[in-house]
Amino acid sequence: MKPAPDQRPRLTQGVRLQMDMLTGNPVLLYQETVILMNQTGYEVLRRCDGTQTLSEIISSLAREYQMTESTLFQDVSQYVGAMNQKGLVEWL
Amino acid sequence: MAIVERPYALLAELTHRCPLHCPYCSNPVQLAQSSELDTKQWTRVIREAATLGVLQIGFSGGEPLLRKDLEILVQVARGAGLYTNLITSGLGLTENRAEQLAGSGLDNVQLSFQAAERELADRIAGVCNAHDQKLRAAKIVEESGVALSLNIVLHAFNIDRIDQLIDFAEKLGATRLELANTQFYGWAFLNRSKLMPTRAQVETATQSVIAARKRLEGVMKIFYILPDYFTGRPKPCMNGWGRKYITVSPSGLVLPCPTAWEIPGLVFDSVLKRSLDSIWESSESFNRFRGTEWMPEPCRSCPKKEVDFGGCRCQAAMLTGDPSKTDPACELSPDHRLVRDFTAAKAKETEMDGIAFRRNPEQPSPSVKPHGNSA
Repeated sequence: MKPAPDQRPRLTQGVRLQMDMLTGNPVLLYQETVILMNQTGYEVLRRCDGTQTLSEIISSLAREYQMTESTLFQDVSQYVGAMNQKGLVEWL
Repeated sequence: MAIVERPYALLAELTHRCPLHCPYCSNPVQLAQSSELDTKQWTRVIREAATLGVLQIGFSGGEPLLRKDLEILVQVARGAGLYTNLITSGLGLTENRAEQLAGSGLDNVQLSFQAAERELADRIAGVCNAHDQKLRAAKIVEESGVALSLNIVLHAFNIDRIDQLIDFAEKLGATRLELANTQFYGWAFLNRSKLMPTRAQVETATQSVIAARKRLEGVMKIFYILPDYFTGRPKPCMNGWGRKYITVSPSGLVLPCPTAWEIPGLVFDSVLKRSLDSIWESSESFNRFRGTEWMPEPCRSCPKKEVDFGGCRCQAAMLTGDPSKTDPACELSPDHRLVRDFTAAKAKETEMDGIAFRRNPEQPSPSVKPHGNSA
């Protein structure tokens, strides 16, 4: 499922995003699993804190990377939806 | 020389003491009474692990709640940036303790159940009222705000009730359920002929899991792996020896896998004598089966040698007497008949009579004559 633009995605309980001390790269941690993240995924997920709506997340990414919101919308909502399917992201 | 990668996870076996007596426990059958590492020693081990690259720690045992310093160790691990998971029976978990653990930064609790029904569950655990205490523990964890996952070990005496197990987990509100087919080490190996299900039982259970996964998509994740005794393919044990995982035993021995003590002749280094990074990088036990150089045929020329890594070294040792042979669970192994004949001859079990329940190290051994194994 994909979030609606006014929904606020957040990492589900027991899922943690942090930097790997050894490499300086972002990692996503949950039970018995380590996912090595790329910078793009990290930039999306670190904004999924339950306070920002999907639209706000996309606006903030668009500002930071100087891209249009319409270009980003499809990719970001698809990515957040895929993370939801894995049980790693939920929304309010 | 095999390339030494970084380890990702540390299994910290804080104690071999346990209130339960599950006959499938993978702890050693012959537990020598040995001292446990103290808080300071574990603190050092945890910090050394983090420096080495470890990102996940599982606090296990025995029952880790029996350690009064568990909260401190969780705090140390979180402080070192580790993801912290408590692998517990739930016995001894109070509201107060759960609150303290949550405050220490515990990320996840993996709570075990033995069955969905009280009477059967308590019989398997070998303890009165264990099931009710676990139900209470599940509620306490949920109220503490720490993520909860359930783990149920499957065997001949509960596998036919898999639909009830799944319903039970769903009603408890679990978002993650691990249905773990018994792996035959330690007490489980001692009880292998009783605990092993039949092929028909495994096939029915697998169909139930497939149906439930579909029905519960988005509600509860079900983890279920086909048992290697029935698939003809070996499991990628530990994702390769000395490649991702470290286990530290209660007394401080460092093992490439939690049951590596099953391998005769393998000597393990202690954190009391060497640093964790030196053991990881250059100990004899970690280098023994690292990479692919050690492999015999048919592994050596197998296209899957870096997929399943020749299977499980402990299983090879236990079934053939030689840990450097291909895991007999593989149908390409010259010893595969050891597994095939065993499962083919397996009749359905109905009675638990004759099963050996796990005992604690300090308890004297009454009836059964053990010959070695752990969970």
